[in-house]
Amino acid sequence: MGDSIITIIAIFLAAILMFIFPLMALSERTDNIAELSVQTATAEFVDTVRTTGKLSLSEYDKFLSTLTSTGNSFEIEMKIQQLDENPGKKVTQATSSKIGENIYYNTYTSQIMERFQTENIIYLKEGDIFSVQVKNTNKTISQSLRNFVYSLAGNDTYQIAAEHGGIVTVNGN
Amino acid sequence: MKIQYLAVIFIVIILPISLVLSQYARVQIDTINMQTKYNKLLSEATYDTIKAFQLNTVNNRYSNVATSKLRDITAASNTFFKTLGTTMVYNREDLEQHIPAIIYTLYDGYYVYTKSYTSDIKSEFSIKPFVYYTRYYQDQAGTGRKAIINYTLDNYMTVFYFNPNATNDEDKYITISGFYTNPDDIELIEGVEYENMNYGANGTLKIKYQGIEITEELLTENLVFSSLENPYEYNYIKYGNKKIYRNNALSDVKYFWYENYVKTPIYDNAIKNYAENRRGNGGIYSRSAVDYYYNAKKFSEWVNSNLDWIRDDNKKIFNIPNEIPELRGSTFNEHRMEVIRESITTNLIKAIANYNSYANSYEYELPQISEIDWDDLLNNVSVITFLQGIPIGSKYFNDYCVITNNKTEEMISKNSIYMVGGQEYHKIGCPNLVKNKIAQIKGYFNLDFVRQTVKSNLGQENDNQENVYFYPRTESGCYYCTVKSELSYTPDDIISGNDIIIGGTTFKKENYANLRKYYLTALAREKQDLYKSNSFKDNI
Repeated sequence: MGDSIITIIAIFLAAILMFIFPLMALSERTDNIAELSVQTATAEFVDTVRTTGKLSLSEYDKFLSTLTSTGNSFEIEMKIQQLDENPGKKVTQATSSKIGENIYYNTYTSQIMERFQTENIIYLKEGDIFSVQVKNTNKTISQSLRNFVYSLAGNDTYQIAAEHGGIVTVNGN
Repeated sequence: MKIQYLAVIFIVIILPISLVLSQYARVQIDTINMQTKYNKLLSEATYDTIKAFQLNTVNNRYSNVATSKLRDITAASNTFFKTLGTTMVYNREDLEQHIPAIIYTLYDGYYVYTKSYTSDIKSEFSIKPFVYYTRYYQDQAGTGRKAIINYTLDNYMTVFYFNPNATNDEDKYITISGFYTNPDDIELIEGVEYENMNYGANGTLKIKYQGIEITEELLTENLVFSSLENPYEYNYIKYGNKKIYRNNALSDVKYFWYENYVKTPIYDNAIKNYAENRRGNGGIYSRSAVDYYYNAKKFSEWVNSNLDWIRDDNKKIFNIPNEIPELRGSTFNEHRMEVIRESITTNLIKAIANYNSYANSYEYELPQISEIDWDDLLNNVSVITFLQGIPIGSKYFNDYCVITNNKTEEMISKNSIYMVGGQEYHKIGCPNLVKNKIAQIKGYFNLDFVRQTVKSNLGQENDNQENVYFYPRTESGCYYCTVKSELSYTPDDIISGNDIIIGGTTFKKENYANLRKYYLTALAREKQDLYKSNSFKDNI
């Protein structure tokens, strides 16, 4: 009787050692590589937009397909801050010894996608700021394994994330 | 065997394998992270370089003199080394080993900034001599005619032509420069003496381009002086590289230069006559736009009849009917881009191969420049930087960065003309320009809208000089085009008169004829007034 209990515990322990731990280690490795690829793709996308001044639908689609080729689904948030130099100009014209401050207008993901429905390319100008944030929305294998072993409070934890941004250096047109 | 033993043996085998694999993965991750980081640092440093170059040349009155330009380029390269050295924490000597070349493409040629031996043992970074965008042509049919053509970033060219079969000796060697366009589009008006007339009353000095009348223009801009008189709009024309302003007050100083923030009167009689001959009611008129089209027509007709034999791979380049050479897809433009590309690539390969003689262990190679970057390079003033040989993880870093300069004095690109209408200025591409049919519009160069600084002591007695700021043009930008960049058409569309579609409505070229006339006039005027350091005139 005691012998069979020991056997069951031994089999259970063996199963954990042989299957669960390596699986957890390797799936975390996969997640690391997926995160690296997502970070590189995001940095390249933002840098292309920054150095050419154009945000085109085809570039965005290419970026999206690079992200989904890692096997996960993502949520992309883009933000364009457009520079407006007119207030600075008006302040300087009123009192010539002061330089006025410029202001930025923000445009977010849903507005950008709406603009993509009518035009194929969005032009940016020098001084605009463009930034992208990417998070994964599905549960990766390592996330479900970890939840099996210990559960984390809060369902909104994401495993793979990347963000990048910068100033546009060239006028798009 | 007991199952526990199997499990332990399994662990003993798998654990080292997974350790090695995770180490390998970590090295790859580090490599890619460092590559991304260095790419970003390189692009930031190149942007600083071009910004420094732009600031230096825009504010430098003598920036078209060659020695001054060399100083500006050296200053911009120093900025590059400084920024890259600070962000990468390398000192200058170490960094110099990894930068094989920096190339500045300017309007009519390019400079390469690279290392060369200054004596038997010493080598240092210096600017190599200016390289023009040239090509040598020889008549394949055996008539002995030869030509060397210097191209530029737009449709200006300089031709050195040798014809051994000419009847007079002086016609054997001809050297001329001009803007190449389609001469059939330009129509001279009967009765106008283009060569002798300096001002035509009531707009009689005019020329037609594709049926649109191009006439003289009255140009104005705001000026502020150290003495802080009220800012007033002064009327000006361009002479050489500077602007002659007409004085508004009734004084004996009729014309002045704007130098050192004061009115510097013009005493030279030749220059005063130049301005006086162009005076009409309302002020001094600029006839540069009419000059542009008149000279372009003469030059293009000469090119079409004398350089007809030039072939590139059995394809004709000049004298192609029904083509506008200024547009992007024309045969002339494609050939020009190919000439410039070949020149830059050959020199780059040589510079980088040469650099191997300074190398320690790394072998320098030319990275593949993408088509998008070539497109930018061949149509704009730009900077290309290379960074090679830094060890990152499992390989060496080898990359380049191309950044272009949009606000520059070096060239007038088609996008750099802003149209002023009412209280706003617009870029070409703005839907409001076409839809709203603004009646009074005029085009100005985008550098005229940049804020200027004047040093003044604000009317006080002390020596404290304070900065006073003003804008030569007081209009504010239209929110559609200058802030949001919602552009619906390109300058090429305006030049060729294509149909423009905005939000479902089609506008034909008759609907925007006003915009077309003023844009073409402004573009022609600015291109004609641009100071060119090699321009030749032979009698043709």
